[in-house]
Amino acid sequence: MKRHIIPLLLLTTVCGCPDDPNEEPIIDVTATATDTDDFDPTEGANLPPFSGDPMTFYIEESVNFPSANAPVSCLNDDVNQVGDWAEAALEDHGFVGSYTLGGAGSPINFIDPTTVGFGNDGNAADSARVTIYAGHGNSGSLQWGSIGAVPPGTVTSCNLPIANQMRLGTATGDVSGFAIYATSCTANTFNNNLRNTLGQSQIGQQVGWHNSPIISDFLLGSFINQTATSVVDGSVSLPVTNRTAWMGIGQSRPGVGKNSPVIYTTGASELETAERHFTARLALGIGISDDIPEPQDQNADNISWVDNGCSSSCIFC
Amino acid sequence: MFTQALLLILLTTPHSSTALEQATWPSEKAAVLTSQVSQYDVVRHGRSVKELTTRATLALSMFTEDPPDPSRLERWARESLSDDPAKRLQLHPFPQLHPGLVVMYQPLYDDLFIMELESLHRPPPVKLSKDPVSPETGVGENAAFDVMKSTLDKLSAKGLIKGTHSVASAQLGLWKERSRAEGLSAEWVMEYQWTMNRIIDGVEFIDAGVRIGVHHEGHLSSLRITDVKVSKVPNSSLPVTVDLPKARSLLLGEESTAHPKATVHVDQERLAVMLDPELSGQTLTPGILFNYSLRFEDTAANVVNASRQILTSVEVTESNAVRRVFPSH
Repeated sequence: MKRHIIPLLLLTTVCGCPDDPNEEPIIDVTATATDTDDFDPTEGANLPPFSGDPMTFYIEESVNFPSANAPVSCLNDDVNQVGDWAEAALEDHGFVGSYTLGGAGSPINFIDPTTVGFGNDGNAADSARVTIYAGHGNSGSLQWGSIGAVPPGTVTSCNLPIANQMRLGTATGDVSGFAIYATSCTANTFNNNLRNTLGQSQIGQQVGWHNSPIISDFLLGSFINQTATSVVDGSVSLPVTNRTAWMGIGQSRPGVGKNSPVIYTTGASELETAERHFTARLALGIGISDDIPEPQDQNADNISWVDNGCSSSCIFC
Repeated sequence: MFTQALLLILLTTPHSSTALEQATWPSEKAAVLTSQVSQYDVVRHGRSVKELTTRATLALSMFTEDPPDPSRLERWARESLSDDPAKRLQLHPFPQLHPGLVVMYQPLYDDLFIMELESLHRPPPVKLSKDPVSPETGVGENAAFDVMKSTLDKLSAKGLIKGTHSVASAQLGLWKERSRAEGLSAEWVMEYQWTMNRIIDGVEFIDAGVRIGVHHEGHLSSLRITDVKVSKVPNSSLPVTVDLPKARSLLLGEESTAHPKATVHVDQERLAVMLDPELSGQTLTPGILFNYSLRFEDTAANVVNASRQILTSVEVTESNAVRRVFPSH
């Protein structure tokens, strides 16, 4: 049987080591994207640069949901707003983009027209390198509070079935490289849900929750900020990667809830996938500044998650 | 006033038996083992730079014997307490202590969080295989549990946590890693995480908690501590009048009124108090704290969608007040 060793990770590649060993070490607490010119963001993968601007984002968020007198696909409870902190954090790190809140949003903005003819993701969710949806969801789906202002005869449900209709980073648009789902259960790890739903997109990394989480107002913003943290002591540099930041801040405060954060990485090869999984840093553009080749290997992925249990309301739990 | 109005609605609006039948409940049930409860004044900390540096020094000493550079620590504390969220919400490195130590402090919840990244970056020497995966690749859960207990004792001795924390009821979470290639896979546990809250008179204080992360190699690799100031209100002893079945019924009553087409799925129920996240202090009566989610399902349209998790407490005293604490996603 062919055996594979998990690729060893180079932990010293993001190093701001001083030239003079006697020089006082530089402690880079608030590194920004502009500080990374001398870094190799491909981490040895030799991927060609992304042809577009990697420092772009598209955020859509639903906070108001009807409790009755609406299609069941729209029913839920209101949620706290989290996208504004994410927007501010991304802009602090040099990103530009758009933030659509409430009724101005619609599932149509995450539907690829190659799956359903009226899809608009090429002008919305798949038009920027970082894609965020915040609202409600479930295993394999996202939920809006209303259908939104859409052409007659198009969207008829507040529920977006990801496997059938969402194709980020491929087909029309083909720009997205990283996505956050601030929703319940969308990144549920059971029943091959990740591969069968989020894996239908062709992007580098996606984060969400295995269960129904409590998401504080500033969680997404804090996550983004954390990925800019550099640890430099003159000899070894340990970055705060998307993986470590999400495993940490993706959880709720002790005892408040039982969040199970998930980070899911895909790629065209196991090497590309593993390197991205253990080195990508959103705030600095590392992991999204290079091409993400297609087609991706359907048999290669890396998942990190904290198993704090599932929620019975999730489909697969 | 809102709570009182809500209470009246609850007591006069019976929920359907269907809601009760469709609800799901945790296997571990909250126990109200006392006939009397007290009220508590719960107040958030407003730490000074000096207090925070002292607390952080003690917490960092859990990971290394070397003291942190005082000027570096003071700079960190000032940034953590600043009004600039870009500084406040960021992990800060202390590389002169250890190449992987990062620290974050969220003043709103007195939330101190430390990770040791060097070992958390390091995968164990597992191979991809067709064989069933074995998460126990390091010292194993039992040995990790002993490290957790030892850590808890040290935290208490250093004054970083106060009062009693029940090891027996600690919630275990597993940081897992999974790698897959060419039909082969590997899965392993990176870190064992135990979460506990302070217990006073049998009541859990949700705003005073600790999460201890033990690396699969058997050492402390992360720590998260929250705290509040707690004092018992003098002469506040109240009789317990609500038992668990009644508290559950009141919970379902509220949800069947607010969301008549949802089913309730409870993950956790505890005798507890929790501050309103927006408030800096409250006088609180213990209640059954439900941690649950809602499920909206339309079988005809094949939509099984939208769940969320919130916390709602039902006071165990004769007021029976129902208080929604933390609605979320």
